[in-house]
Amino acid sequence: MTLAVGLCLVGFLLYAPCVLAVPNRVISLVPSFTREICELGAADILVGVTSFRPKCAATKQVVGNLTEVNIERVIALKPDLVIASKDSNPKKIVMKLRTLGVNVVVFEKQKDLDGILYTFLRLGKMLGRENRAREIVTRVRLEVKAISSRARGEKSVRVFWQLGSSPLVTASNKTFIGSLTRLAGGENIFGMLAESYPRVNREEVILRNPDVIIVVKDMGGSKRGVYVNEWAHVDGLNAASEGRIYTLDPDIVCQPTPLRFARALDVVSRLLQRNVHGEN
Amino acid sequence: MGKTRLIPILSLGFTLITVMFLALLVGGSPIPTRYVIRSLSNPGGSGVFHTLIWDVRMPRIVLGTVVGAALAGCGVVFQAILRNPLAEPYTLGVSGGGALGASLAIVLGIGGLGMVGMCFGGCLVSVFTVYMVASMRNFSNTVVILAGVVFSFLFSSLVMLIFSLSSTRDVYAAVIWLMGSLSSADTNLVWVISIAVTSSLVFLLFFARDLDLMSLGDERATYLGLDAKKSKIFFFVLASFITASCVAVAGIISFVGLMVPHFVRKLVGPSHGTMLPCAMLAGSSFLVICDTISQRLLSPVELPVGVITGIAGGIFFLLFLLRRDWWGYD
Repeated sequence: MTLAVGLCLVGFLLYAPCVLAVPNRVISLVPSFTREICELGAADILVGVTSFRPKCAATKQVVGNLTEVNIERVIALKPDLVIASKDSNPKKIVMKLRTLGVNVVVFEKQKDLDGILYTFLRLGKMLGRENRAREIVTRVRLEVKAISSRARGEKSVRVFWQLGSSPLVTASNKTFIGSLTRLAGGENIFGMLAESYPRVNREEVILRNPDVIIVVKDMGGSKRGVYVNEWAHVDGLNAASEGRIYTLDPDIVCQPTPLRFARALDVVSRLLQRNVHGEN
Repeated sequence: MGKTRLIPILSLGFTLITVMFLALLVGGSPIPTRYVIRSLSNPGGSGVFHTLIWDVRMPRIVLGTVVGAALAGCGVVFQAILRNPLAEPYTLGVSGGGALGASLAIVLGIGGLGMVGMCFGGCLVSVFTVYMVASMRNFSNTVVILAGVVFSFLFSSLVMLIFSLSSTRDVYAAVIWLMGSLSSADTNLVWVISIAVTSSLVFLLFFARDLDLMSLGDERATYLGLDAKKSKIFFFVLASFITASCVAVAGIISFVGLMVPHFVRKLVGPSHGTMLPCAMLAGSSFLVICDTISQRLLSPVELPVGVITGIAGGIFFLLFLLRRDWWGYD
């Protein structure tokens, strides 16, 4: 009997910190983390989000946007955890919240699949949804492996990503778009640039002659289909002569969560392998 | 036209042609000169280099020439009619209105020509509001300038309001656009704006004498037979229309409209018959040079042309400003 009580006590002491450490009131200051929390099935513990939240958090209270956060509203919501990102949220907001005794966890910039999965696992663990996180990560890894091994058999395709038209903006390999391109069997023609999202010269795009051009639609104002396909009539451009200029919805490639990454990789690899055509 | 007037105009015209030709050779990417010459000598040709020279490089240089001439020319006009050395094309809040229109377009998801239209509309709203306020106070120079400054601040604050309610993606797109660029995706738009602005600039040249009178002050101009108020409104509307067209197609490019007129005034004197065309030619050369530098400095990465005009123009202007004889006093 004494032994049983003793074991129960030891078990409780070991388990209790884990239970107590799991937050019940979470505020997410980053839209992609808000989505990840939903994917982890933890939307119920979300009490505050930033504007431009995903549908799963549509009813949650908005505490600000990426650059401005209403500190009073955050405090009033009595969160036991605030999630922020080094890449998106200004340091002064994080410092201010910490000074006021709020528990803020700041995640590093995610620039490739490993980064996204690592962050997701950490988030799952933090929110007491580790099993769900592991399950998703395993599934995503398998999907990514299948897609990239399928792509490995194909000839490498030179790709130009257009994220803005005037001026012309692209993504280098330091972004997860670069990671997507590589895994999908493509070669980003501006992959080696030091900046993540550089402005590039139109002449250089033509000179580097990409086989595929992917235009992410509303980056730079063309949500409603008013989009100038400036490349289609460029004489001698491989992508134009082979009709391989595609447009993509920004939601497919601009939300770096594990599930979205796998979906984006599937779409991009199909575009690069000519199986499916884009919206053009 | 006297020889003294012709020499600076012809020299600056020759300089502009040389600059344009060099810009065509240098461009934004390394292409062997022989390919450039071959493409230029064969306008009906085909191939990558031909497209690159005729459809990318040429429209960009033309746009740079037109926008540079327009900003410098409008700078001359505003400095003359407002009699203020700090006046420039954006003084009357045109840039703020344009930024507001463009930001709204980006947030509402309106792209292409719609965005250009909204930006142009924003500029005109700004000009109209400044005009209304100024007309209530008989177009006094102080009121015109202060109204312009006030509306610039007001529109900037509205842009900030839009940014704070928008997604990062939209804010990023708007900020990038606001930095200014001569690299337009729509070649047809470049030609349309270029023709409209060039004809307006040529029209403006016919009124150089009126600018001479206006720069003496409203009272003196009236004594000398000019309807100062009407002329001020005419220049105000025409220069604002030209600036608005430039902002709509190339964003906000700083310093050209402020620096070039001062520099040219010192070179050729204050007579607008010489100074206005000279400022236009010098503005064109300056912007085309700055744009070529912005393309080649960190190639293939492109810098916003406003950064180069700001730095180059600022340093250049400061050096002249510090010369003892520059302003005629120590």
